[in-house]
Amino acid sequence: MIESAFNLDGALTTALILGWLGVFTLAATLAGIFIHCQSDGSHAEKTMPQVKREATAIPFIVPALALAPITIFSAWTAARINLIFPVFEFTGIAEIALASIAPALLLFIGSGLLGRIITVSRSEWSFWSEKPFVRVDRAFGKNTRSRLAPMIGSRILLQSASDCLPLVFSELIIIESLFNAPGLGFWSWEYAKTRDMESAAKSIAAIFFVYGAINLTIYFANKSLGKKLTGYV
Amino acid sequence: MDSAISQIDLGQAYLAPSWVHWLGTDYLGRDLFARIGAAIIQASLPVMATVTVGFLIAGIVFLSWLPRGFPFPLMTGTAVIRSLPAGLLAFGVLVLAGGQQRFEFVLLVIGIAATAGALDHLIHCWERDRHLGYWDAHHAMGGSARRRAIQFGMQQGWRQSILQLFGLTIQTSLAIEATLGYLGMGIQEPRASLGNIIAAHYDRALKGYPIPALSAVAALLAISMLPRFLTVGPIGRRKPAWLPRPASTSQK
Repeated sequence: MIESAFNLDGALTTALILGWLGVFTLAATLAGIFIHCQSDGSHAEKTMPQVKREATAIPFIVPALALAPITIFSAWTAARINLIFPVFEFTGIAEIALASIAPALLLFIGSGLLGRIITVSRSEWSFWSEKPFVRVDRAFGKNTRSRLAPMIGSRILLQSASDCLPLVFSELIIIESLFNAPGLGFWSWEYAKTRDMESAAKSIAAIFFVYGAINLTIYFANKSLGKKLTGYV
Repeated sequence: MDSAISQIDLGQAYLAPSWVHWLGTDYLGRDLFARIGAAIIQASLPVMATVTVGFLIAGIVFLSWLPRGFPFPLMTGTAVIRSLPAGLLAFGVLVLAGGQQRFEFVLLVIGIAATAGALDHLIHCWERDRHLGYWDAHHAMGGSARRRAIQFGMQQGWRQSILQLFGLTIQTSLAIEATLGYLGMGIQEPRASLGNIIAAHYDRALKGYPIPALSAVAALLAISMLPRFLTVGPIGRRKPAWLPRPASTSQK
């Protein structure tokens, strides 16, 4: 029973989905930094219309239960792309990794992580661009972007992740179920369906463990970054 | 109404949309439009009501503890509950309760999560603003802490963020209810929930008849987007008079 609850395939699938999610988060953060670097950051807040700023007040969250069926159905009818996971036993790791992209992408968009990265990158860049040390650098004609980019990047990454992580993990079970991805969330549902509550509880505990580990990493990263930032201010 | 939406007529199963059945019928010949309407009334509205009650309870607890100071267990407890993924927590609670497929359990978890979230937010706002200059001045002139929290906080400076949190909590709670319904842990047939309607028609949607599942998906999408209007309406847009104008308008 314990072996089935903590099966390696389940952990691997969940790890792959979360891994892709991390890749998307990193890519969006880098894109956010790049876009603001191009516009020199300091004017980013000024060009944004007031209405749009207010509309983004509540993070743009789409329930995975709504987003996933639309995506799966559209992909199949429009391009004959099957986003449902292949049968685990007959496929290689590369195919499983490839199949994990779509669930991770939907988690990334649906949980509001993308929206949060956009909002946080805009506000962080505006905030730090107006700091005295940046203004002094700019007055002397120095390149402030290269100095700000790593610091702002890590802040965007950590803040967005810590804001959206609870929803990401809330949606993990449903995303895995809809895509038929045999991850920890999917197995906990399967066990619950067959009334094997002990195994289901163990699977859920495993997900909570992963959640706690990621949260702890973010906490310590935030703490170490906080020390650096006090040096800047 | 219950009998009308749950009346089974297998001869009428999977009828295409028509003037009689606007969205067609489901696999048991029940009118789909009526079932989606019933799902919103039976599942989504109670969730919204639960979140609202949770926020009201949080407000009452906050104001009642305010003059004495907040005890450490209360602050820690709310912070811990708020940081947990509510959907996973609800699923875990239902599993630990022996797979009790009862909607009341779902509402209970959603209510506790909403109350803890709102209370944690209010305490955070209070700790942040309590030593602002005009708050201290109000205190020095004999004003009460409750009055400051209501007048300067809830009605002014904190309003936008409370509305944001309220909207966000409704959005996530609706998603949680629908998710648990899909997973078979929330509202059970013959009662309707958007989650169990999607679950009942998901396989058929993949086989080429998507109308029932997509109708429920569209309803879920529409209802979960409603709270976004909370912060763009006249209530959310009004700003305290003493807050500085945005840098963009002051510099122009």
